[in-house]
This record gives sequence, structure tokens and C-alpha cells, in this order.
Amino acid sequence: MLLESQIEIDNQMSKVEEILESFLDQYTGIEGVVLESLETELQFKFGQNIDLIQKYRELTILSVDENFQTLFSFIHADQGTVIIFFLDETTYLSVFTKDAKPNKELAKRMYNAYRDKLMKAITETAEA
Amino acid sequence: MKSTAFIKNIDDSFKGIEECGFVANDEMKASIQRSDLEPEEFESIVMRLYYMAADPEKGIRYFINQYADGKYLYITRLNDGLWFYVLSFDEAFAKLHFYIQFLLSDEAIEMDDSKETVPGEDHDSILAAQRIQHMLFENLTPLLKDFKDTYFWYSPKNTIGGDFYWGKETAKHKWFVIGDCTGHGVEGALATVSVLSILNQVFDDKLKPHWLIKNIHYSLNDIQKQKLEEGYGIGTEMMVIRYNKADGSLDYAGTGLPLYVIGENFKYFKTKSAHYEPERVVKFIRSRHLKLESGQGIFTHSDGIIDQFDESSAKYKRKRLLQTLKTGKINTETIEANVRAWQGKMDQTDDIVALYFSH
Repeated sequence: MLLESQIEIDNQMSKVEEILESFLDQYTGIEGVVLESLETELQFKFGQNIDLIQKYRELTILSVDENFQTLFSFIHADQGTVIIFFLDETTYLSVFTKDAKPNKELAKRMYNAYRDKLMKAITETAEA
Repeated sequence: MKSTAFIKNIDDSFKGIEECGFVANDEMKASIQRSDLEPEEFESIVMRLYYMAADPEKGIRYFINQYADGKYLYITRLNDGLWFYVLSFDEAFAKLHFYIQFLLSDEAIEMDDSKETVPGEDHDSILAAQRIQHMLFENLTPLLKDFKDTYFWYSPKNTIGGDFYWGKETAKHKWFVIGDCTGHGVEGALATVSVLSILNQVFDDKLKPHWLIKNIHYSLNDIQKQKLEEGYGIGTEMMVIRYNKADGSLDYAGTGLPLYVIGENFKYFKTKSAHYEPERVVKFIRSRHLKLESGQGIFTHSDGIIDQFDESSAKYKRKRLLQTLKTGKINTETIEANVRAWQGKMDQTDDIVALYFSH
């Protein structure tokens, strides 16, 4: 029984990973992606370049305010841009790209394409 | 540029700004406060973000937070210790960002201590942009000098605008292009710079006018595909005329802009607008050949003339322009004076460009 349970969890975990991998593949210029939560220890990291995402983690957390429900953020720094999507009030996906411009349409497309499937996979992982 | 003039320039150009101001030397200096947010609440979030972003080790240039209720908070570094922030309900933050970068491209912000917006306008940056835009506009006067009668009117709604003109003389032909890019003001002017740059690259005297339009359209699409969508697109309507110097005939092609034959056998040729189905319109566009008789001329214009509002919000409309054109008298007194009389005390509604020459 223990083995089956472990296999089930591993399968669920790989589903989130599969989605994040497909996310990295779909959009050109993305060098790193991190999925994490303000409340839980949920954290997935993918890609070659996630240092900048970690560097601005505090800024992301500080930008959240109960009266300012953040949908997404662009942080443009000398080394590139981090786009942060809030999948819900506490779970967010940080994407690092070299693109220096605030590409709102691209951010919206990413958000619309991946929010639901990621949230579903995360929920299933949590329930497993 | 003075900080108050900078604020006014941005506030005049963008709707929906609720709050904006500077954070200088760790102090928030709001210049516009229309928001019903609790001031302490708003100051708290701006200052929290400022302290994080202002850390020199982080190297942050700007950041933008988009919130669920549609508003966004934009904070950008102007120089060490000086940041500018905007809270807006207009979601077009990409446009705002590019506009601010444009304003800052050749001038530093000089802080004045006034927290209030002052009347008056700092046009230095816009005048610099006007000079750049006019450098790209070809001078049509030499091209028009051999025609029997000519009239040219270019009047942007603001200092710079989205209407443009271009011309070129080759061994066989005289080329004239007038156009109307999406938007006016800075937005439109930036689009004209793109279109004129492409026009100069794709121009080929051997091609018929519709190929110039096709090639411009494809190049614009390529640019926008490469960069995906950056919150807005560049579109243009235009009229391209190739006048044959040897026999006085001409070929023309247009998207949206009309062409009229003035004089005996007055004619009005519509062209399909490329605004709604650009791919379809550009796919099927063709050039049309006209032979001008002695005394006949051609007139073309952007929609700023017929869309001009009077003080009762009525448009000038094409029927009034047609009345003038049918008289065959095309000059400042008949075209511009009539539109200005209609306009009265109203602001100019849109950019205007119009061209006439007779054979």
C-alpha cells in the first residue's frame, strides 16, 4: 500500500512538472520558471536561469496587499525581466525572460493558457 | 524637464491616472491624488515597494503590478534616489511605459518642490520629437513645382501626429504617399516613424503602388510577429500615387483614403479600409490606372477633414467637402478655411493631411 501511495504522489507531482516543462517549451526566450506559494512549501523550479527570480522574491511578496489583489507583475532589472503570475491569492508562477519590454498581451496569454491547468494539478497534488 | 511639467504631460496624455508622483530621498511626493484609497494605505504599499526596488544591488529599472480590479501600479527609476510612480485605472500600461521612456530619452527630470500641478506645458521633448518626425517627411515642394496647380495641407491635431506624407522623384515617376497611422499624438507619431522607415526600405520604382502597400503591410506584420503584441499594434491607411512624367497618367492604390478626380468629369474613388480585415484587403488590393486630361487634377486626404466636429458635435462630413471639390477650386481658402470655420472654437478633432495637384 505504501508503495502504491508513493507512486500516486509521484505521478501527481510529475503532472505539475509536465505542465511547467511544456510552458518553458511553448514560449521562446524564457530561461527559468518557479512555481511557489506564500503559505505552503510548494516550490518547483525549472530552467537554466532562476537566480534572478529568487533575488526578487521579496519584492513579489511585498507587492501583495489585501486591497491590491495582484494579478501579475513585471519586474525589469539590468539582467532581464521577471513576470509573476498569481494563480490565486497565494500561489504564483515567476518567469524569467531576457525580453526588456512589458509585454502585457503575452502575459495575459500565458496566464489564460496555464492558470487553470496548473491550479488543477496543484490541487490534485495537495489532495493526493 | 521640471517634474511638474513632466507630470502634466503624462496626465494630459493618459486617462485614468488616479495617483502619480515621485519618491525622492525616501519621501513620497504626490502630484495628482484623485484616488479614494486611504492615503496611508496607498503610501504604505508604494513605500514598501520603493524600499525593495531602490536597493542598488537589485538593479531594478521599473516594475509594474497589475491588480484584479483592473488598476495597475507602475514604478520606475529616474535616477539614483528618484523614482516615479503611477496608479492608474487605464490598463494600457505598456503605452504609458513607452511614453515615459520617450520623455526621458533626452532629458533628465529636475525636481521642483511644488506638489501641485502647475498650468503650462513643457513642450521641449515634443518639439524635439517633431523635429525628428519632420526629418523623415520628404519635402513635397520640389515634386509639386511642375504641376499646373497644387495644394498641400498637413496639420497634426497635436504638435506631432499619426498622419504622414512622403514623396520621391525618379527618372520616370513622381511618387506621392499620404497616410494615417493608428492614433495621434505621440502614439501616432511613433507609428509614422515605423511606417516611413519601412516605406524607404521597400520602395522600388519598378513596382506598382499596390505592391508598396503590400510590402509595408507585410513588414509591419513581421515586426509585430517578432515582438508578439506589446499592448498595441501599428496600423496605417494610405494612398500611394505614382505619376508618370512622360504622359501625365497615374497609377494609384489605397487603403481607406479616397481619391477624387477634380475638374471635368469629377469622380470620387473610394478605397477599402484596411482597419477591419487588413489581410483580406491587402491580399486583393490592386492599382488603378488613370489618365488625367489637361486641367484635371487629383485630390486625396486623411479622415481628419471630414471627421472635424463643430461646436454642436456635428461632423464636417464628406458631403461638405464634396461641395468644395466639385467647384474645382482647391486651395487654402476653400479647403482649410471651410474646415476651420466649421471647427469654430473646438479643438481639431484628428490629424489632417491633404494633397492636390492638377495636370
